[in-house]
Amino acid sequence: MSSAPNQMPTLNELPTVADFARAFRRIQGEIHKVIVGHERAVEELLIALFAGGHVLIEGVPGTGKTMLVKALGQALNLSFSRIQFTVDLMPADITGTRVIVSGEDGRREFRFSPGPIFCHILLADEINRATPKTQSALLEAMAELQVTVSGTTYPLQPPFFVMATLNPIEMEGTYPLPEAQLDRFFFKVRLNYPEESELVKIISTTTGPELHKIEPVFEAGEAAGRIEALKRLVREVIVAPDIEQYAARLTRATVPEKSKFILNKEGLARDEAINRYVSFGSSPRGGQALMLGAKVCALLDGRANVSYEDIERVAYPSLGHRLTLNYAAEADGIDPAHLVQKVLKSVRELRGH
Amino acid sequence: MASPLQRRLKNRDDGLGRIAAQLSRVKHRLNLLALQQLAFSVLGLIIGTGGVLVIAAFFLSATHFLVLGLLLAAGLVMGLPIAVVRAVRRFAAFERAAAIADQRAELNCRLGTLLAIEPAEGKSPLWPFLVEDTVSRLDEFGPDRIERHRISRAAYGFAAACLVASLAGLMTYSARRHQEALRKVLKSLTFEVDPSEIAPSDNPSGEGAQLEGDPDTLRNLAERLEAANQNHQGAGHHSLRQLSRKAQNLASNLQDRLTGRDLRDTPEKVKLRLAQALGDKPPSPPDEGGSAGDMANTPQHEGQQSGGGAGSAPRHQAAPSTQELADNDNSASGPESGAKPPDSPSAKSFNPGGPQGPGTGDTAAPGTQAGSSEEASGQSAGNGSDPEHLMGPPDAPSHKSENFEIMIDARLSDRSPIASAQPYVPPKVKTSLNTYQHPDEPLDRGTVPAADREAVRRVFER
Repeated sequence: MSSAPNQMPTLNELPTVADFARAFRRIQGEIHKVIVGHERAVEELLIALFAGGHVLIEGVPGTGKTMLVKALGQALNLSFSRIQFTVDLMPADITGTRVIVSGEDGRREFRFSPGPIFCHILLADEINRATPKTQSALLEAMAELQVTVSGTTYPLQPPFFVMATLNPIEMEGTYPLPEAQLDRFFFKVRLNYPEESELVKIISTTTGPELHKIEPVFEAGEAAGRIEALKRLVREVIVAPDIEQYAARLTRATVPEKSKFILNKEGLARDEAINRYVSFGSSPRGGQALMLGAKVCALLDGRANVSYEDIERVAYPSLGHRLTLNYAAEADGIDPAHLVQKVLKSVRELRGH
Repeated sequence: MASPLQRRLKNRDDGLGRIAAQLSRVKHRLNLLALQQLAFSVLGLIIGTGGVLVIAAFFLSATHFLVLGLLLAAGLVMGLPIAVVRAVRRFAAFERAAAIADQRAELNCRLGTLLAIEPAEGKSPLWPFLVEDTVSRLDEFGPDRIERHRISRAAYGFAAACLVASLAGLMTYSARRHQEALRKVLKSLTFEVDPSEIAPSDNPSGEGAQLEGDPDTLRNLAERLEAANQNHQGAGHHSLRQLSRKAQNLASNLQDRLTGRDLRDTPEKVKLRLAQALGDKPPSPPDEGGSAGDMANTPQHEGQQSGGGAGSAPRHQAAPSTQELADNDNSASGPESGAKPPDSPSAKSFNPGGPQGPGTGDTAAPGTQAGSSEEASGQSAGNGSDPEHLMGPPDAPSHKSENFEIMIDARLSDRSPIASAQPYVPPKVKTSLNTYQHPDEPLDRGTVPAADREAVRRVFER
């Protein structure tokens, strides 16, 4: 707990709130050396990383998705892999497979050859271009940090952080992610098209003779340990019961009243928009994401406790992609962000004063 | 009342104790303001409503005043509980004070979390950091930072209500002074009113009118008035109209009390007395045995009291006008309206046709004729005055006892919006004619020229 201001604690020591905020801001700063704009997206990406989740990044081509992930890997000084998902990609191409190798004594044996998933940071580029079978190969790895091949389970080294990108255009020949897989992503981060001033800066910084180099924030050997310690600190953040109840109520409020999977209707959505446009609301994973994301926000703000504002700050990236909208929403052009705002407004009265 | 959590925290010497002590101060400030709001809002509502009511009494008619009074009463009945509930809701317990401090000092739920998690203290390694962090912000949630007002803003409303009430009081005081001055000026005045100038009162209840006469006549009059009333109004509307009239009376009385126009409790009353317009005989000396009644209060009445001695003809001619007044007014119906029942002592004490009447009427023979018998006075009254008997003397003296007189008990009032010391008497203005104007004079009768006579004759023949 007690460490000098500019000195990182030892690996066995729990970092302080100030250590966390400092490390976070440094990583953020390094990434922004090469990523112009997208401040909100970068922050959400880091929140998901320290909360122990995975991120789905949605953006049109050329907005810096791959660049963002590479920059993160460099800043954290962690191993980094990239898989370009295509329609003929097989699960073994991701997880690895058993191959026959000849030993020194000439005997041949099966040996496991790890796939690209065995890394700390994995970029699954255009994940919706692979078949659902291949997409599902990621599920076990993302949820349980392990891979099972031919009956043998291979653990992944923490931290394990998957960033999948989605291309919202060119939907021909794509396989939209099933809801179960979407739910496994902690946040969905949207990379919007850069503004004019940002575009000018992008053009000037990427076409000049000197390219910015990213300095790693952590030492190579201890980066994983440091990040894991910071992740442990996140879970120690104190939450008052009222705020836990607020997060739970917010999550339940995304479920429409007509849902047949809910027996007790108390605390469900009172907003007509939710009942009209949402087929399925957020799963409990949405509530977990809300709370863990809020804890990271609290640490970033130099606090050891979660506030209502922290919950609301991560409401959209946590809940937006967990809302399954119906055809009426598509016809009316309803955006999940709009619905999340409605839910926030309807539940805000719960905030105790 | 300190909560158990508050007591436990305040007894500690560490950071939590300091935080609790600061929160207690915040709580006291908030509760003091809530108490002030309760007192100011309730008092302000009551005083303001009263003030508005008094001011309205000066400017509104009785009906409008009644409506406004009902609206204000309804507003008060609804507003008081709302004001009380709103004020009571502002009372803060320890936890609520923490929530308010969190919000206003932007502490991001630090205090709320501390109070909520305190029983489970020590479970998180970040707990000491939270306490230290909050202690370092003690100044940020001092009472002056959280609630800088020491006086509730409801005091403004209370002050406004007091202002309205002061204005109302000033107006009432001024009006009462004016009425006192007016009463002193008019104390010794008696007005003689020509009966032809009497119009029905604005007050539909006919308050102040008093009929006196012999019991038979009054009973007869009451029955005829009742019958006339029943002809005019349906039975279903009767009770509703009575209720409405009572409400209006109540409002009018209240209005008079508030504005100081109510002088009924004062001994001095100016009486208007009907002049004997048709008889036009000077009033006779006071009748000691007649109905002194209310008239005894003013000396002028003693001089003008003609009692039953007034001739029967004028008295008989006054009766139809009274009835007409009552019919128009729908007042004075039955015994409620001032027509005293036959057994009433005052009614019995005044019997104009009885032997006590001195008999000073025109048609009746002085001394002997009047007062000798009711029959005689009835016959003399019928001759030439009653349309039923225009064709000759009646077969039987059907109205032989319908002799009564009207005494109008009028009260002083000044209904003008701006009170003045003297009643307004319109000046008599005579403007001289200019050179182009000529006084109205009858045209001289001229002669028709001879050439036109034939034409004029044909025109008039046609």
